[in-house]
Amino acid sequence: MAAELTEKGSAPPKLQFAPFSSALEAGFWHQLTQKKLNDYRLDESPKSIKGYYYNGDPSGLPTRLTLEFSAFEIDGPTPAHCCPAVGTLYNTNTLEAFKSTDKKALLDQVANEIWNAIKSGAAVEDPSVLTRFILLTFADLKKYHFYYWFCFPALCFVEGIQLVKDPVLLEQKFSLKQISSFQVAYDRLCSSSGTTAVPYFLVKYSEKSVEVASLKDWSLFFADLKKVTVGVYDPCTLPQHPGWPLRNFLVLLASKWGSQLDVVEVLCFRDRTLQGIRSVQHSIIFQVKLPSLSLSAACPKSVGWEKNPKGAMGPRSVNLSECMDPKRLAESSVDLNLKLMRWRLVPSLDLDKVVSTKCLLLGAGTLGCNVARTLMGWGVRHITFVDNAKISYSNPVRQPLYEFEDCLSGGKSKALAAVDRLRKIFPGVNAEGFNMSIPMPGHPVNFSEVTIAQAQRDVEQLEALISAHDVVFLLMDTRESRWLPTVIAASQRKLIVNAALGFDTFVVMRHGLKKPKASDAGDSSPSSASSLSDSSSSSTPAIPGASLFSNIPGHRLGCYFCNDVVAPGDSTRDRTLDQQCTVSRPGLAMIAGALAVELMISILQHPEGGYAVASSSDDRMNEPPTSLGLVPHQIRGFLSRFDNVLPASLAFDKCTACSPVVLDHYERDGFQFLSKVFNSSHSFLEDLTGLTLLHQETQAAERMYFCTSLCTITVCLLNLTYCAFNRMYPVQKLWHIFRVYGHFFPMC
Amino acid sequence: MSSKNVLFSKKLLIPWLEKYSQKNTGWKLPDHFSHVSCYISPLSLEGSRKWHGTTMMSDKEGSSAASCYLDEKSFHLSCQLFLQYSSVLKDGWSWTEFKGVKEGYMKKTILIPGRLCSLLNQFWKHKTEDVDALVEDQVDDDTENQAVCENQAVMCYEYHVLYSCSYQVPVLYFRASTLDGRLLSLEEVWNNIRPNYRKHLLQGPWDTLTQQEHPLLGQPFFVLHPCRTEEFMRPVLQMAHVEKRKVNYIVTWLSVMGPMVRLEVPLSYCTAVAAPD
Ligand SMILES: [Zn+2]
Repeated sequence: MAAELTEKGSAPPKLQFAPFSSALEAGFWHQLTQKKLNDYRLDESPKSIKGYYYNGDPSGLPTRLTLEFSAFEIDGPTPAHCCPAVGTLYNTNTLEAFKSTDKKALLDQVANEIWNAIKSGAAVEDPSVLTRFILLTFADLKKYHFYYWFCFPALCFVEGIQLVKDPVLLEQKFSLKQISSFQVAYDRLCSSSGTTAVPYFLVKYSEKSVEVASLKDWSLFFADLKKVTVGVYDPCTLPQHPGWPLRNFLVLLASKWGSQLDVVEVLCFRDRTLQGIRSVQHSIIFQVKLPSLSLSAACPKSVGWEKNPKGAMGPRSVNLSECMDPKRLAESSVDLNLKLMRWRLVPSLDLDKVVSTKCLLLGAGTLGCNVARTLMGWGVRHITFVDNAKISYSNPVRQPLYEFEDCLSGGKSKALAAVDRLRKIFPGVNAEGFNMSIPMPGHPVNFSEVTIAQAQRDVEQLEALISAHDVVFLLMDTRESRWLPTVIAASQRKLIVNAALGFDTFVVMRHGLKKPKASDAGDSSPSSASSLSDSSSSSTPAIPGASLFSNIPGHRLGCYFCNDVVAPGDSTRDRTLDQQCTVSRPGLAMIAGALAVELMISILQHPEGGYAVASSSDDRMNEPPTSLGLVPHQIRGFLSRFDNVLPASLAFDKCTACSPVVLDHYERDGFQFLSKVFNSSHSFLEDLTGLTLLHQETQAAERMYFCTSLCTITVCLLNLTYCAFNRMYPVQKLWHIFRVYGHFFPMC
Repeated sequence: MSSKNVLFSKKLLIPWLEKYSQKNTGWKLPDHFSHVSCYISPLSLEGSRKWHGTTMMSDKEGSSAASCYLDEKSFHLSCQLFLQYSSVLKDGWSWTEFKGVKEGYMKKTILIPGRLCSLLNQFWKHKTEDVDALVEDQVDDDTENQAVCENQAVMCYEYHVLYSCSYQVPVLYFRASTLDGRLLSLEEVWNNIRPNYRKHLLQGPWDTLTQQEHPLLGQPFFVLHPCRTEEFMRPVLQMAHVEKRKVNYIVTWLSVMGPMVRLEVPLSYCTAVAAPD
C-alpha cells in the first residue's frame, strides 16, 4: 500500500473514475427475445429497464452494471445489498436502425434529464436518479445474434476534478472504533430508508463516533461547511479510483453547494463479507476540490458510451445461437448425451469417430428405418438412403420413419420421406435420399439402349455413393440386390454391415475388409476354406495357433455371399429363411437394425477398425478387444430361443461377390462385366468363380455328409448353437457348413 | 404386503446392485438392504414411486428411519433456514419466487476471473463478424477521466436450487456465462476446472451432469441429475442418523453436490443451520 501511495505522489492530481462494465446474465437475452417476440414486436419506442451494481466484490473483479432476466420488471426487487440503476432500452428492428441511431442525441437526452433532476432538487430527494444507463440493442432472432451498446451517462467538468488528498484505505484514516461506528450508522440509515443499500449519503465523524445521513438532510446534518464528507456506494474495487456513480454526484454537489464548499472529502464505501466476516476497511477516502458549476448554466458535456473489448468506441455483439437456436440446442443436447455416456461408462469411447462416420443405407424399409434411428441415437450426422420403393399402407406400423399420411396418393418415395423425417426428428442431421434401384444379377437390363443406359447410370451413382461414405449398410429385402454393393464396396475397401431377416431369425454381419490395394501382395488370396479335397493338407489359415473358429483377422473374413454355393440371381430357387424378409416377427427388424449399428460402433472403436480380428461366442468370457466389448464377424439371432450366436467364417475363394476373380473382372471391365452378370443366369458367376466345378467335386462329400449323423456333426462342429441352422439353412446347404467347418472333422 | 415387496425387490436387485455399485460408481453398498427400494429409482421412476411408497411405510418400523428423500414442504422450510443464515453471511443466496406459480428457487451468482486467453479467444469466436465495422468516431471518449481497467475476463456462474417433485429431492441447476451473456459450453466449464480436481470429479456426481431446460425459466441449464442424489445422500444421512444428529437436508446436499461445480458451501452452514422441525 505504502508503495502505491508514494507512487501516487508523482501522478497528476486529477481524479479518474473506473467506468462501468456491462454485465449481462444469460437470462437477459432470453427475456429480451421473449419480449421482442411477444410484447414489443415492431415497437421501437424506449422501454424502462433496471440493472444493479454491487459494492461487495472481492478485489480483481471489474466494476459492473448487471442486467438479469428480471431487468424488464422495473418494479421488481433488487438483490439485497445492491443499488438499482434505471435504464432505457432502445431495441431497434434492424441493424441499419441500430447503426444510424444518433448515439449522441440519446446520451444528451438522458444527461439533460439528470441535469434537470439536479436543478429541480429531485436528485437531492432521491439521488438514485443520478445513476442511469442506456442500452441500445438489435436482436437478430434469425441468427440469434445480439448487437448492443451500453451508455452510462456522466456529466463532466470541463477542467476535470482536482485531487487534494490522495485516496487512502479507510482503515488508514479511521480507527477500528470509527469503522464499526460507521458500519452501525450506515446499517441504521439503510433500515430507516427501507432498503439494504443507500447509493449516496452524508458522513460526519469525530474521534469517538461516525454519523451518516440522507442527502436530503444536508442542511440539518452539516452545521458548518468547513469540512464536508460525503459517502458513495462504490462498486469499484481499485484502491486508487472511485467507480462511475461518483461522477454525477460530484456534479450535483458542485452545482448545489459548490460555491460554499472549499474541499469535499469523499468516502467510497465498499462493503464486502468474506466467509461471514464483514469488511469496510478497504473503502477508500480522499479529498477533492470541486470546480464551480452554475445551476443556471446549460447542461454540461456528457460522456458514457462503453468501449468495445478492443478499447474502441463501438458496440459489442454476441452470438447466442448455441444456447438459443432450438436446432443448435438439439445438437448440443444430443452430443452431450453421448459425452455423458462416455464420461459415465466408457471413458475411452472415441465419439468423434462415430459422429463423423458417413453411413450409406441401402434400403429404407423396416431395417433401414431402424438402422437410421439407432445411428441418430449415436449422434451420427451423415446418413444417406437409397431405395426405390414407395411407402405403402402396411409400412408405417413397422417402419418407424413413416406415417399414414406418407402412404396417400400413391405413397411417397421411401428414400426421400425417410430424409424428411430424419430432419424433423433432428434438424442437425445431414441426410440425403436417392430414389433409385440397384441392378441385380439375373435381372436383365439389356431390354433397350435406354435400360442399359439407366443401369449404367445406376451403377455409377452407386459407385459414387459408396465412395463418398465410410460404412455401407445392406438392408434390402432381396439377396440379389446385395450383390452389386458387395462387389463395389469390396473393391473400394469400404466397410459393409449387412443385416437380413428371416421369420424369427436374423443375421447381422460385417463383410471382410480386403487389405488395401497397395499392400495386397504376399497375402493375396482369401484362401480360407478352400475345397474339401485339400482341406486336410497345407491350406489351413496362415495365422499361427489360430483355429478356424477364432482369430480370423478382418481381411480374411467372409462376405454375405461367401457362405453360399449358388450365385445370386435366382429368386425361384429355394431361399434361405434369412432372405425372406417381409414376413418376420415385428420385433426382429428393430433387434437386427440396432445390432447392425452397434456392430458398426464396436468396429469403429477397435483400433484396427474393419481389420479387427473377429470375436466369437467363445470370446464372451475373455477380455474384450474394445471398450464396448466384442467385435464379432456375424451375429446370428434366434428369436424363438431369444438367443444370439457369434459365428465367424473365412472368405471363400470361390465367392460370387468378393473372390479375387470377381473383383478382378469388375475392376478391369467395369460395367461391361456387371451387365454380363445382370443379364446372365446365375451360372455365369458360378462358372466364373469355379463354383460349378466345386459342385461336381463335392458331390461325394455331400453324400458322405448325409451318411454321418446330422446331429453329431452339428453338435460337435458348431458348438451346439448351430442346431438352429437346421431351421435357417435348407438341407441342401448343410454340406456347405460342412465345407466351412470341415477342417475340424478328422475324417476329412 | 409391503414386506413382500421388499423381499421381492431385494432378491431381484442385490446381484444388480453389487455389480452396479462396484463397476460403475465406486460407491459402496450399505451394510444392510433395508432401503433397497431406494435403489430402484434410477431404473424406473414410476415403478419406484409405487414401491417406494409401500416400502417407506415399513421403514418406519425399521431400525434406520432416516429418509433419503425430502418432501416439498421440508424443502421450502430447509431453504428458508438456509437463506436466513446466508443473509447473515451475505454470501449471495436469495429466493426467487416465480410469478404466477407458487414455485420458486434458491439462487446464487458468483463471478470467477477466468483464464484470460481462453476466454478472449472464445470472445472473438462468438462475436459477430460485422460488429467491428460499427465503431463510431462521433461518440465522445473521455479517456483522460477514466481509470485504466484491466480487460478482465470474468465468468459468471449462476446456481439455482429447485425441488423435483418426481424424485423428491432438491436439484442443482447451473449455468456459466461470460459477461456478454453467452453461455459457456460444458467443455469450457470443464476446462476451467483445475486438472487435478477433475479426476476427483469424475468419480462423484459430475457424471450425472446433463443439459436440461430450467423448469421455471425454460432456458437451457446444466443439471446434476437427481437420479442418483439419493445414493449420494444415503451414507451421509445414515451417519447422521446413527450419531443422532439432525441435519438440514439442503445444507448437507449442497455441500456434497456444490463443490463438483465450483460452488462452495462454508463449513459454518453445517453447524449454524438447523433442520426444520
Ligand atoms: Zn464373399
